[in-house]
Amino acid sequence: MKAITLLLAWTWITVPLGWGVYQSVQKSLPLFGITAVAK
Amino acid sequence: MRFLTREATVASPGFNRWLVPPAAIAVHMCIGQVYGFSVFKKPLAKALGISAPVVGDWSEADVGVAYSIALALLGLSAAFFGKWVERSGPRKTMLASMLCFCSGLVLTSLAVRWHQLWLLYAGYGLIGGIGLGLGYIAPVSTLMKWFPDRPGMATGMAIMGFGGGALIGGPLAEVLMERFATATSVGASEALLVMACLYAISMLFGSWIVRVPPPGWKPDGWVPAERVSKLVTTAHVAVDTAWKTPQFWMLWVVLCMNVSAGIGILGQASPMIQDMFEVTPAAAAGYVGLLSLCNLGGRFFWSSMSDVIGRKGIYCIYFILGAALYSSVPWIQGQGSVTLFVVATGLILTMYGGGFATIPAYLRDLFGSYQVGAIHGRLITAWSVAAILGPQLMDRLSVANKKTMPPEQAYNSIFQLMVGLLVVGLISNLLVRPVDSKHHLAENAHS
Repeated sequence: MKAITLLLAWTWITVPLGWGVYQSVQKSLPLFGITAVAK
Repeated sequence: MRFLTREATVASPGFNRWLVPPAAIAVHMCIGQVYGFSVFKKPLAKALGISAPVVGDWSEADVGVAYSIALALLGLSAAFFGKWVERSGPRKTMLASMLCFCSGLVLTSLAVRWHQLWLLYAGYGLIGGIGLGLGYIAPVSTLMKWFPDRPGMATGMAIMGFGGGALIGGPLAEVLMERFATATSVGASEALLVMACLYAISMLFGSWIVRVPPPGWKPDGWVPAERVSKLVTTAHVAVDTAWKTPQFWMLWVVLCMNVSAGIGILGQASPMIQDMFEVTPAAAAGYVGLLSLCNLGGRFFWSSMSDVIGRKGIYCIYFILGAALYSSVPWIQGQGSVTLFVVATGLILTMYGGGFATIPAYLRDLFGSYQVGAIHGRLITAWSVAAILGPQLMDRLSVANKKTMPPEQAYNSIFQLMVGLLVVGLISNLLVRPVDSKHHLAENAHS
């Protein structure tokens, strides 16, 4: 029971946090595809 | 209402302390939404015109004032209610935080619907801001009591949750506004209501599972070191005494300088990389996303490292490495290396996050754990000051520079200013000495 509670609690926070991190990674992808030159 | 009292939250024997970090993160990842508030700026600035702003619409600056009020109230409420938080315990405080923060979101939703700017300021800024302050400090001392062996890591996890809140709050608001947008609404009012409900559920979950350790509790097999460092005390200092010591104000300066230096990049990130290098707006947005991830990761990594290196040492790293990296940016620009620029500024942002996350453990080292949450509450007024004044300073400097020099050179003096701020922080950190024993509480006064 304690293990399930622990699993539930960590899942509760890792799912939204993981989603937020995924969104940021997606957003940052264009940065890695650029070839930039200093002005 | 006995359920809400501190006594009712004392853990029963066999309680697993690893349930407390998710409780803290469940609250912090909600109130961290404040960092993602900027996504509402453009929609709220065309709430009447829908497709474009019309006469009578709020300006983006008008909307931004709500964010500044919220951050100011975060610091003020944390400072003002700190002792109440220590007395009441984490459950009651988390619940109060939920009531303030979520009712603030509901009032913001109504402010958008009725187009009342004062209600936006009162709802999001004033009431929501109080919720931010309460929620931010609510789990701090509880976490450090559960993890006396790793206080930096424990508070780092919670404060990482606050950083994560920005990564969730921004995209969530965008998704919801897109879902609710119609020909007559930008969808912000409905999005805010849904967010209030979702955040209320998460914060209630956090306040339900949080527990405080029984008096005298220690982790199994853990024996406190006799004397780890002169800066780590086994005594306790009350909040009303602590804030009158030089050590408190030195750490206030340390936090204020560290935050200001990070904001120097965060606030200008998108225009800066576009001005300094030939990158597209989409890549610049990607850069901002990457910096947010660095901010998040740094909160956990550096605060955990501080348990090994020591708090004073880790802040020396933040300031010296940060100053060196800022100094190197003009050279990196000369080399034309975007990669090096991203790595350098990303590293700076990890230390910006680390500075937030390490400060509670630094306070505990110096003042003990007795009222460390309340002391932390008073110290984060430094964050409010830096968060409001810092971006204003950077904005004005960059705008003034762009009038007199090419945009790609307009940031050099900002970097020099950042180095100066970090040097001030370093000096303040180096001056930190153990708190005079005359300030320590008697043995029986804190039990």
